[in-house]
Parts: sequence; structure tokens; C-alpha cells
Amino acid sequence: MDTLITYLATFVGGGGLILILIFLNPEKAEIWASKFWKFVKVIWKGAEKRYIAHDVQGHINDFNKKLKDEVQNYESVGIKIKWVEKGETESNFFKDNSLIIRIRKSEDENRNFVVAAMTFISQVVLRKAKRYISKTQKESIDLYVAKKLFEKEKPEIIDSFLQDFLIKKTEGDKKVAEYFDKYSIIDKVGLFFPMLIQELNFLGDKIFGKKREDIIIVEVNGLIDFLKKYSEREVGEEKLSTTFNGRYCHFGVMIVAKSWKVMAGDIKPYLKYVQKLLSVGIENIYIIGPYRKENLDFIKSICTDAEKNFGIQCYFEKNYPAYIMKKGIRSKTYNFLILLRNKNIKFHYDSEDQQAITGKVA
Amino acid sequence: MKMIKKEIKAVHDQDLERLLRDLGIFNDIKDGKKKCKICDCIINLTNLQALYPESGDIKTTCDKPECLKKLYGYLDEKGIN
Repeated sequence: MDTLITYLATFVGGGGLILILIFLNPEKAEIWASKFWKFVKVIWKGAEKRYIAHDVQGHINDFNKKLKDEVQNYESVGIKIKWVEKGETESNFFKDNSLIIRIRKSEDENRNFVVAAMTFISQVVLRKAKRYISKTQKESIDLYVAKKLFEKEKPEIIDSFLQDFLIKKTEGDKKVAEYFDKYSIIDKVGLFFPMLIQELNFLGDKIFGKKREDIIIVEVNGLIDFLKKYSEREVGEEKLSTTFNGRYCHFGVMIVAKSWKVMAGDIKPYLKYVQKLLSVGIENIYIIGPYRKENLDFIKSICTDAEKNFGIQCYFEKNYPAYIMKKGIRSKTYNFLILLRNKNIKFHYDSEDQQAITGKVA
Repeated sequence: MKMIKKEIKAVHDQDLERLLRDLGIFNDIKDGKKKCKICDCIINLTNLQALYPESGDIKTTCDKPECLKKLYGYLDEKGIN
């Protein structure tokens, strides 16, 4: 990419290069624009709203883009501040049956950002899955995603967010506090976004027109507990279940880490295991291993072969930092993950489909 | 790839009074007649945080973080964006 940019700079000059960079990174460009308007607003009051809008949009959309890099099936919907303008009629204000949030003067910018971010997260992140999960599951995920957003985009806000939102909410609601703690543990080992959010997105995509009910809430609790247990797993521990085969979520984890197996280069036992998982209805197989070249090549050859022979697709891959448990202490490592996804996914369209999995008339 | 954007309607402090007058609720707020939909506290020009339409009326909420959080859950149930 750097070489490409250098070539382009030679051909199109500095101005052209800036346009290209804006085109490639519109979110960053908004953050830069906000810095410009922040300066202008000192001498021109009219720049105030532009500054706030660019600052909020730039940071939230930048986070959104990062989220999309971590979760393949994340529907990347950004935010655009639409100011209520002079001359708009009442019917126009509320024509989409929508909420109007108040944005304060820019001296209160942290508060403004928290309000806009919470509005964005509650309305956009996991929109489909949130129809089916419980109120506390929903609230706790929103709070955890907000914490991550502020950590990445506005670290200076974290303190006021903890004081004003998180502590009050978790002190007043034990269930939310418990969920939050579980997400934090899952996140340490790098599985919060790639697995939990991804599986919840899959869940939201495969159930149609069904109301929130206990069976789904219980399944999501099971999913969270499974990932938590897995995140607390000691390196080398092999007794833990590696699959979660619920009514809606069907996934398994396969660790490829033993260097002697990688050195031997025999992918057959792994392929056999993939086949076994598929035969019991597993739809997603997360293959994880240390981020080392020989390991990467080995994992990729498993995936290529599995794609060719088992009707599955290599859906997503990424490397990520993880804090794994070794003798009770977390130590940092870099992992690689590939998600293999079955092409024949079971969707639940109607009451008959529901009856088939729940055993009762929906 | 271009990101799809969700519009979030906002009113800035410099336009707030005008908006409230246009909506016909400025005097109600000044007179302490509007309450927070969530915690029932009295809404004034300092603590007003959000407005939305419901059953032919304009509802308001205060700026307490927990009220804002509860409001999102409530609006989600009601299908208000």
C-alpha cells in the first residue's frame, strides 16, 4: 500500500494524494476536518455544529470500520448527525418517528460524544440479534461495546463513562455486572468480537419474525458461558468441550498449536475432525493457532482442503493479540484465526421450523 | 467501500429554544409541566436530553445516563429509531 501511495503521489502530486487518502479513509478525514473546524469555531460561531458533527461522526465511524475488520458478518452502518434546521415543520422533525437528541455546546464535548455513541450503539450494533436476547444481555453488550469504543477513540472519556454509566448501571443491576465481567474475560483471550459478536450476528440473521423468548435467551447465556470457560482454559487443557451445539448456534473451536504435529505436516487428522464436526451439525469451525508462519501455512492448507472436499467456505481470517492462561497467569501472545463456515446453514423461517427444533408449537 | 450511514437527529443548544417553541412545548418546559418519561423528574432547559413523538404528544427525557439507557430500550420495543 505504501509503495502504491508513493507511485500515486509521483503521478498526481500532493493535492491528488490528499484526495486519494480522503477517499481511502473517509473516517480519518472527518477527524482531520473536525480539527480544522475546532480552530475555525474560535473565530466563527457558525463552525461549532460542523466541528461537533465531524468529531462525533469521524470517531464513531472509525470505530465502526475497525469493528468490521474484526467481525466479518458485522453490518457496518455508520452514523450521520442530522441537525434539526430552521424552518423545519413539526411533522418533518418526527417524520420517521425518530428521536431527537440534544447536543450541548462544544465545551461539553465529552458528554455529547457519550450521548451520541450510546445512541449509535443501541440502535446499530447487533440490531437483529437484539430482538431476541434479554434486556440485560442487550444492555450489557451495549455497555461493553461502548467501553471499547471509548478506549479506542476517546480514551479521555473513559473515566466519566465509568463513573456516570458503568458503575451506576452495574451497581444497580447485578445481572448486567455479571455479563460485563464475562465479556471482559472473553475479550482478554481475543474472542469477544470474533466469536461472540459474530455468533450473535449469525443468530440474528437466521431467525425470522420470531419474538423474544426464553429458549433463545437461555441459549445465548450458554454461548457466553461456553466462551468464558474457554477463555479461562489453561494452555494444554484438553478436557473442555470444544463445541457448542445448541438449537440455533452450532460452532466448534479447533486449536492447531502443537508444533510437532505442524512439523509433521499431516493435515488428515484435522480434516477428519472437521468432517466429524460437520456431521453432527456444526456450522462454524473456528481454527485457532499461534501466529507463526509454519502454523499459518499449516492451518491454511487444512482450510483449502476442507473447502475443496466438504462444501464449506473459508469465511474469515485474522490475527489478533490474546492473553492466554499459563499456570494461572495470563501471558500475551499473537494468535491466528480462520473461520470455516458450512454453506448449508439451517434457517428458521416459520412455526414448523421452530417446532422442529424446540419440540413445541411456536 | 462506502459505509451506509444511519441518521441521528440532533438539535444543538443554539437552536433548542426555537425548536421547543416550534413544537409548542417551550412554555410547558419553562413552567415545569414536562416530566422525564423514564424517572418522572421535572424537565427544564438544563436537564432536557431527548425528545420523541408518542401518542400525539412530544415526550421528553432528562440527562441522567440511566434514563438515557432505559430510553433506548423503551424506544427499541416501540419501534422508534
